[in-house]
Formats: sequence, structure tokens, C-alpha cells
Amino acid sequence: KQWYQRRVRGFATQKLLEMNPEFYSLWNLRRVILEHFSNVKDGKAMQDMYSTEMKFLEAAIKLNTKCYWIWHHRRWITERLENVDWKRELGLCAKLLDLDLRNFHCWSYLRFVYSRSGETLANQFKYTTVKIEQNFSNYSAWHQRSSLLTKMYETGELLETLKTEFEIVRQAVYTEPNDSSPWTYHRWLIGQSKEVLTSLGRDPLEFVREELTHVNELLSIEPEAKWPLLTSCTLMMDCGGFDEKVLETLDHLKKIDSLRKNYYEFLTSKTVKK
Amino acid sequence: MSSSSSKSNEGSIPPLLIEKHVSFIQALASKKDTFEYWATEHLRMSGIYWGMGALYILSSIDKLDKKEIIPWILKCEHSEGGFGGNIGHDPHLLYTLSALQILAEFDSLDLMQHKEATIKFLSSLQQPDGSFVGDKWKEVDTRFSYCAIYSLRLLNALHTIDSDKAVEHIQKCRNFDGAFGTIPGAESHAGMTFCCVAALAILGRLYPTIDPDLLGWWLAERQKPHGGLCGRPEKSADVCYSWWVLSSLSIINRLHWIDNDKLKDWILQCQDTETGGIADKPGDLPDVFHTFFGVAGLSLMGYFSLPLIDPTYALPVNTLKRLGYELPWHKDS
Repeated sequence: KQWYQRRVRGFATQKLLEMNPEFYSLWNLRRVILEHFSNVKDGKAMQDMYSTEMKFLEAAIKLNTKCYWIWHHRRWITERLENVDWKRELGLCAKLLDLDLRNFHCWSYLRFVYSRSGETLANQFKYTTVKIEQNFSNYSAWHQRSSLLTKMYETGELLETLKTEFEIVRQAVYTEPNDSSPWTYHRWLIGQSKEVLTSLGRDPLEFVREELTHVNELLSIEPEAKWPLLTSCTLMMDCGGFDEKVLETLDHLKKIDSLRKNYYEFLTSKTVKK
Repeated sequence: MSSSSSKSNEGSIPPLLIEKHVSFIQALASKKDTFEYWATEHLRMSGIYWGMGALYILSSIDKLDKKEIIPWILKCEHSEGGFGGNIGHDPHLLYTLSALQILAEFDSLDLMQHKEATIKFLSSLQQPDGSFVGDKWKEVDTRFSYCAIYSLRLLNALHTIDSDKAVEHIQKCRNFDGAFGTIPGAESHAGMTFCCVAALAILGRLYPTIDPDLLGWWLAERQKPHGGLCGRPEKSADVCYSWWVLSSLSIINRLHWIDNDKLKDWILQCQDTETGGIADKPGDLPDVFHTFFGVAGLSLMGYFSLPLIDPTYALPVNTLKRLGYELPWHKDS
């Protein structure tokens, strides 16, 4: 009788969750029912139940792409499903990220799939290249790229890769100088380059100086663009010896990016104090 | 400007519609036959907290019937510890925090029937790696680090968790841009950043985990040209970020790194001048969540002589002082 009641409750929860997936206690109930079944059913029957649940979840995710409870429940099921079709999971993520390239639930789930499926770092990296080439404004992809690079390379080997990364960023910022995504990634690359060069016993400011040249070139075409201006400023501050130019640039930034004028004032007093 | 501002005149900024917002919030309790009321049943506990917070800032907390709310909250308390989002709902960290916040505000924490069980529930949520899960189903998220640490603070039971490990996990969630994500490896997000910064503040471990200049810069970059704040690079503004971003800036004493006047004007434009209440963006439908965070943002920035709300605890400063809390991030005026 209890078994029958649980079956009926299970069906009812599905209907309710289709209407309101935020009703978290129902997802809990569903898991309680599945746990009960896993104690009484045989292995194959249970795996079939998990597979059916995955289909239900796929439909639910497509309608509610940002519901924490749904994504968590999918993870919970994959932890119990023996033969997860990881290719399908990757495909699901790719589809959702095509529709909404910034869905952080999906990016987290994608990283989870990568860790369980044994997808190579090289392939993971390739995917970020695809996303960035689709849209340079994809901060989520640049972020993913940054965490992969540190996993893929030992500090010393990173040097050649950084050079390539700087070139890719250059393409992006020449196409769209006002998008913050590649510029923020650039800031990270600069930090990395200083670390790598220091560990190799080389001049840590080598890339900083080179990038300053490139940013100044861009500035000659786009003299009023905030991001090249800000980047040239931070690069000059890194190099040292450019105080007058730094103060000039900060004054310029205070005018064209007046929302953040107090931040630029902070940088000004830092420079003046030196 | 976005096309959704076609309803309001560009440049015409309404005043803060205090009375309309109070009526809007009061009316929510009576609309028990709407779809929205039932669709949000599972988070009623948080809904009441947001309403309470907003009413306090609008100097109308007396409009809440403490005699009705407290017994209802206690009905959501579970004997095995924790509170659900509504009567009959499973215990969860999110709603446990909201319940404790409301009880603290009404000086009623001692009315809890299962305080020890709740303390056990809360401390059991910490994982070996220092992270926190939301309930026994084990979803990990830095939101839960904040909720657990804050809840235990309210119950004077912070000693039941490993603070060092908690800080260690938060550090793993910090990204190259100085801000924080949901779990290690996740992209920086203003909501999680607030949770991490505030959790560290409660534990007295803000520095050196936080680089205030780098984090302050990332937060300041959330301000869009029209003055509103967004949650991540290249996303659109939403009034709730007037809290997540602003409170983080306030905790690290860099509120002035964004244009406060412009943000204030943008929040005012998100008001619904007909029904009262504040929406996520100008022209959208208002709700209690955005109403609270909108007025809380205005209070943090010091506009309209609104009663002060604390950026770490999101509760009235007076309440926290009454509870004997030290608020070291509070700027001396």
C-alpha cells in the first residue's frame, strides 16, 4: 500500500513540478521516493527510473533554465545513473549555452560534466575558443578559459600560450574596444605574465611594455575609449616612470567615465603619493 | 536608455513614494487568491523578511502584525532543526536564515522550540572542505556559507563550525577579478560576492582574503551608464544589485566609487507610480523582493534620511546594536 501511495505521489509531484519547479519540497519528496525504490527494486529497474527522471529533467531545464533546484536534482541523478550519456549532457549544455551564453548554472553543470566524463582539458579549452569566436563579449567563456589555462600548463610552459592569448585578445578589442570582457581577461593575462616571467628569471615587465605599445596604438584610433585608456593607465603604473602621463590619463578617465571618478581619484592620489 | 522607459518621461524622476510602497506591501498579504501568491508559497518566509525590511526602512514596521507572524514562523520550525519556507515545507538554510532574521528583529529568538536542533542542523551543513550545503540533499553554494555563518551568529553558536575551513573554501571561490562565484571555478557574480564578503565580515576575516582595491574596482564596474547596477560584466541592471553590489562596497568602505546620485535616480525610476512597489527595471512589474533591495540601497547611500540598515546583516542597525553586535565596517559619519 505504501509502495502504491509513493507511486501515486511520484506522478503527482511531476505534474506539480511542471507547473512550479521552484517548489523545492517536492523535489525533496521525489528523491525520498527514489531512495525508497532503490531499496526495493532491482538494479536495472532503478537505472530505468533514473533514465526516465533525466528525460523529465531535460524538459524541465529547457523551460526553466535558471532554476537552482532543477540543476541540483539533475546532478543528484547523474551521481546514481550508471551509464550516463556524457555526450548527451555535453550536447545539452552546448545547446543551452548557445541560447544563453551567460547561464552560470549551465556553465557550473558543464564543469561538473567535464569532471565526471574525463573530457580532456584541450577539448574544454577548444570549446571556450568556439564561444569566444562566436561572441567576444562572452565573459563566462573568458573566465572559463582563464581557469583552464592554469590547469593545463606548468608556470614555465605558459609563456608561449600567453603570447597567443594576448594576440587573441588584441583581435577582440580591435573589433569591439568598448566591451569589458576581453579587457578584464587582458588584466589577468598581464598578472600571469609577470608571475611566469619572474619564475623564469626574466624581466617581469616584458609583456607589460609590449602590451602598452599595442594599447597605445589602439588609443591612436580610439582616443576616447574607456577600456584602452584604463588599461594603458594600469600598464604605465606597473612599469613606473610614467607618472605625468598616468595623471593625465586619469584626468581624462574622470571626464569620460565620470560614474567612477572617485575610483580614478583614488588611483590619482596613489600615484601622487609616490 | 532602454525602451521600457517609454512609459515614464525621461528626465522626470518621481520622489520616493513611501506611502504607496507601504500600501503595496500591506496589500500583498491580502492577495491570497492570486497566482503569484501561490507560485511563491514556498518562499513565503523570505517574502516576509523582505517585506519587514522594507517596512522598517519606510518607518512602517508597525504595519506588520507580530502576533500573527511569530506563531506562523514557529509552525515552520522543524523538530529536527531548521525552518521551511512555509508551513509543511522541508527545512532549508535559506528559509532558516530568513526566519531567524525576523525573530531577531522582533526580539523573539527565545521563542524557538527547537533551538539546539537548529544549531545542530546548521553546523551539520558544513562539509569537510569547509563549504556549506543548503540541506541534507547537499547542494553546495557560497550563498549557503553566508546563510549558515549568519544563522549561527544569530544563535551565538559560531563555535560549532570550523571557521578556518569556511574561510579556506571562500578563498577558493575567489576569482582573478577579486570577486566571488558560487563554487570554486565559477564566474564572479555580485550576489555570491556579497555572500562571501559578508560571511568573511561576520567571521572577522575580511582581510587579507579581500583585496579591497581590486574588488572595489570590480564592483564599481557594475554601474551602467544610466546609473543602475548589474551583477556581472555585460549584463543588464537590476534593482536587487543595488543591494548586492552596494552592500559589498559599503563593507569595504568604497561606496563612493560609484555615482550614488545616478543610482538613486535610477532606483526611483524603478518605482511603480500607480501601485507602489519597486520593480527590477523601470517599467516592469514591482515585487516585494525588489522593493526591499531598492529602499535598502537608498538607505545605505544615506538618502532621504531613511533608517539605517547594516550592509553585512541586512537588518536595522538599531536592532543589531540592541543585540550587542559590533559593526566595525560602519563608517564614522
